[in-house]
Amino acid sequence: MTDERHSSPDGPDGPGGSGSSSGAAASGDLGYIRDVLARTEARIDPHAFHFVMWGTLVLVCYPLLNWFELMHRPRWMLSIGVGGLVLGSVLSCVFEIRLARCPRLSGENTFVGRQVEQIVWLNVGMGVLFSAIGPASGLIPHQAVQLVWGFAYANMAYMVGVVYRIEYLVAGLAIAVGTLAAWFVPPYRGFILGPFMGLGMIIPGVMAERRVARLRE
Amino acid sequence: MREQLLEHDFDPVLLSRARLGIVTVLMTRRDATFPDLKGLLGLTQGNLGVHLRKLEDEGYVKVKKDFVKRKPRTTARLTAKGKKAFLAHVKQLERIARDAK
Repeated sequence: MTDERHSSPDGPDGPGGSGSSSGAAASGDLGYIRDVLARTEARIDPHAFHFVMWGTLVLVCYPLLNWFELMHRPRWMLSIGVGGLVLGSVLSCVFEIRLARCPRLSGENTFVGRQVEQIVWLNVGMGVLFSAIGPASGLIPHQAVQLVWGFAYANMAYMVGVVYRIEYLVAGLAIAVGTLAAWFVPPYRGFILGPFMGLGMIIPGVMAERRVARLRE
Repeated sequence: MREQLLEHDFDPVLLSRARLGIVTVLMTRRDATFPDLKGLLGLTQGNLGVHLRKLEDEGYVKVKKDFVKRKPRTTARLTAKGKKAFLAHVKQLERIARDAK
């Protein structure tokens, strides 16, 4: 339809200059669309408290696990490992239930929010699967389970960075570097992975939480 | 000036800024509640209601009304027809803006 009009003898800039005013109106509407998108697309709550909480647990627990491993205290290792897992799971559930009852952000961009959610579940699922099947099948040594989680966290942060914010992408790369470094220094895996994974989740998580707080205002 | 766009066989439904804004917001999310749209677009309740009804009548938007904790809630969702119309509208706007340069 439009092509027929454009091929008319008058053309888009025909008599009366209707083409240029149409062009200005079209540019105005495109500008309005861009403005609405800019205002609304950034309204995302990625539930970053999960990143902060799990990052803190990893930052504390991994070096402690490594320490007790070096001290040959398997019971302490088991207590810290299981305790951290249970504590993290319970807190995640409690926070999520609270948020489901009272969402923090109105008019949220649910497309990106859901993408972040799917990425997190995919990577956590892969982490659980490989850390369970790997040692049981003998493909992954028991001591290397932390590396599985290192790569799962790195991939998760990187993918979240692709759809959400660049700081997650940078964090994902940093966690990947830390995980590779830990691979080559088996006795000190926990000491290396703890800070890389922990801070790699805490820093972008805190930044996202602050952004959500600003959007609420 | 905006009336000039009518000469280009634009979709008249999306020529209204308010309706264009509603559809733009709905393009970025699965659905949006009435207060969300009101807040994001800065429209009055009456204005938003009229434009939503028009979009619903044209089949661009599906409006759902339900109750949450005994309070009425209106949720709008973009239909496939609405999405197609929006994309065609943007394409045409881009073409005209480019040709005018």
